[in-house]
Amino acid sequence: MDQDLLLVKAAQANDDGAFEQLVTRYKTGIFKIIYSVIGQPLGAREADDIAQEVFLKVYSHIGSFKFKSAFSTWLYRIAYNECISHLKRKKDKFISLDSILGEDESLKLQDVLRDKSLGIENAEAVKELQSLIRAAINSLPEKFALVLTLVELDNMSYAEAAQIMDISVNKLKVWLFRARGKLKKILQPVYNAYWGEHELQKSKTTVVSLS
Amino acid sequence: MNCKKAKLLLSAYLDKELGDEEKSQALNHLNICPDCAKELGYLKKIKEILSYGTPAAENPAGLPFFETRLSARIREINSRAFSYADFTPVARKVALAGSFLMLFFTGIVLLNTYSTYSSNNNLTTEDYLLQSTSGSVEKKVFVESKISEDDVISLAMASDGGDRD
Repeated sequence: MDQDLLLVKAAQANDDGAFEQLVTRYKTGIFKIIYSVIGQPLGAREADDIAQEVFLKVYSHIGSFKFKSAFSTWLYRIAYNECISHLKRKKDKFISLDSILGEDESLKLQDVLRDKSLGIENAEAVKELQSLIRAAINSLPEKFALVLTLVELDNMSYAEAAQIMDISVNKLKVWLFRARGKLKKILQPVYNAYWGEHELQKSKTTVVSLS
Repeated sequence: MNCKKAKLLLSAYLDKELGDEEKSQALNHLNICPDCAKELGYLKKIKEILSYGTPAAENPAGLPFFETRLSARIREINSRAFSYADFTPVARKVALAGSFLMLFFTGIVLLNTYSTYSSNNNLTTEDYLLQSTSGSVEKKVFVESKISEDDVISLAMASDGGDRD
């Protein structure tokens, strides 16, 4: 952290070498965020372009960084916002699941939910559903979307995510709980299908056990 | 433990972020509450779908020469960008020279105006009549009241007569 502080101060004093060290230090994390938020299909060139834009923004605005939060928090926020802007430019906006899920898609959804190990036979359907869930996450208010991205998509620990978001672990737990609740509302058809499938399985089990 | 508190724990249980005591509390509740168990199943399914074939490891460091390309772009932007550091000394010199010239010309104009004013003050009525129009003559006469209205009329008539000649 102290190393960050020194590098940022040097970068603010127009030390390009210090800025380059910051880039090397954080680029892997930034690429992880980009892939997590945008998801598939995202080519290496596209991800690279977004990462370059992120660091150009950081370079342009590093003078305005006031050390009120950790540098990583500030950087990851810029990266996250750049990803959202990228999605908006691509007009990859989230549309209500009800309007997307036709009869075929609903059947695919049932298959995915029934498939306990998410096998290769449902790979295409899983990927489609994955894109929908990513879009649903990105449609949440920023703090909820970011907390879900870091924990669900980047598989970060609560401590790591809390540090990036500059909040306590307890607050992160509450935000995550609320974020999952909001996501559930958006994904109501998936939730209903899951429950329907669950009830179906249960009744089958009951019938089998009775017979 | 009620379901409301249990659901708060489920989220952390799913992420393997519960301490031993909270974990056993959550498990105890899950054993007796099928609704919360189903809720956990749903959350697990979403997590599984999201982590399916995660592409994050494809190019975690980007394409080759990431830093070099970034530096080149930064240099390009800097070369196009307006630089206050370069602009300020030039602007200061231009502003100084401009102010000096403005003061110089203002001085000249003021000096000129003052000399005209002071020379006008020393004019006799006769000089003034020779320099000015009939309208301004009347003004001068009435303001200063050095000559009578009759004198002005006779002067004007004499001037008209002269013109006719």
